[in-house]
Amino acid sequence: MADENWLKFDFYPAGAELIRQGSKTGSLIVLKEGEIEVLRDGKFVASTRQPGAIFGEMGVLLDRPASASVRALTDVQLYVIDEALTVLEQHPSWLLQIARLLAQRVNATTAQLVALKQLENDEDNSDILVLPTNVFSTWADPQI
Amino acid sequence: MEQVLEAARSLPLFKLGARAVVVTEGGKTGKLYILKSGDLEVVRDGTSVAAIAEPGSVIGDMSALLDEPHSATVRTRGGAEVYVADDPDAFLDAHPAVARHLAKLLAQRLQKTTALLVDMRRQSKVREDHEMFDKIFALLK
Repeated sequence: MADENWLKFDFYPAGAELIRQGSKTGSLIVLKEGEIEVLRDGKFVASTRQPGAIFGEMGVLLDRPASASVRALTDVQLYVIDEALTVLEQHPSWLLQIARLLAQRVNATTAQLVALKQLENDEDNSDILVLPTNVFSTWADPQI
Repeated sequence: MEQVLEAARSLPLFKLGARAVVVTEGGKTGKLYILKSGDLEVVRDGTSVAAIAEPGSVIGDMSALLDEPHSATVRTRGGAEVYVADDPDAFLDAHPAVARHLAKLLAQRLQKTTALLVDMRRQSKVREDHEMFDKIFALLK
């Protein structure tokens, strides 16, 4: 792979599907301009027009099919990184940046989980939602 | 883990005795620790919540990446050998395989927490529906 070709510029019209849920491409998409939305099982999850927003990183890192679809809401310009894992290893600063973003998201989701759990504990009839405590320790323990 | 240990060989190694503290809950060392041998325990609010015994385990990654205090105390049980990276960013930059390993672990964790969150939200939605149904049913009686 020629080192300069790892970042491909691309553009799509509004309505185009950029990532299909269930597909596995090994590519990473970085939004340059425009607005995209994330859909899971056809349902709206989130939208963004933030330049630099990254998509596909979970599939790339975990070598799994995409857990959601990404669709262009407007005409979009973006960068595509094919064979992202190989490219990222050659650009550790990118890897570090992605690791940082993931760490932030782990923190955010953990905080939400703790808040939800707290909410339940405050209620009288907390008999419906009981997660085994070992589940909590497995996701909570290594975050030091 | 193998790759992590391989990379860590360039770092200073510390030999710790029994019950020695590696990081303190609420403290901020800004360092990354890699277990070479021995066993560690994770203590939160005075309770031991997990054990770390696998060589190559990384400690302090969240704190180092996010520049935040440690969320738990980690101390040795019987004793341990621990590599210490004083400058985690420089270490990860020099060893992309370790950065990739960490990113992968974080992605796995994120997947777990997200799945749990979705599950809990769904369950609480079911409960809301249930309550709503009970109310409607009570009105019909």
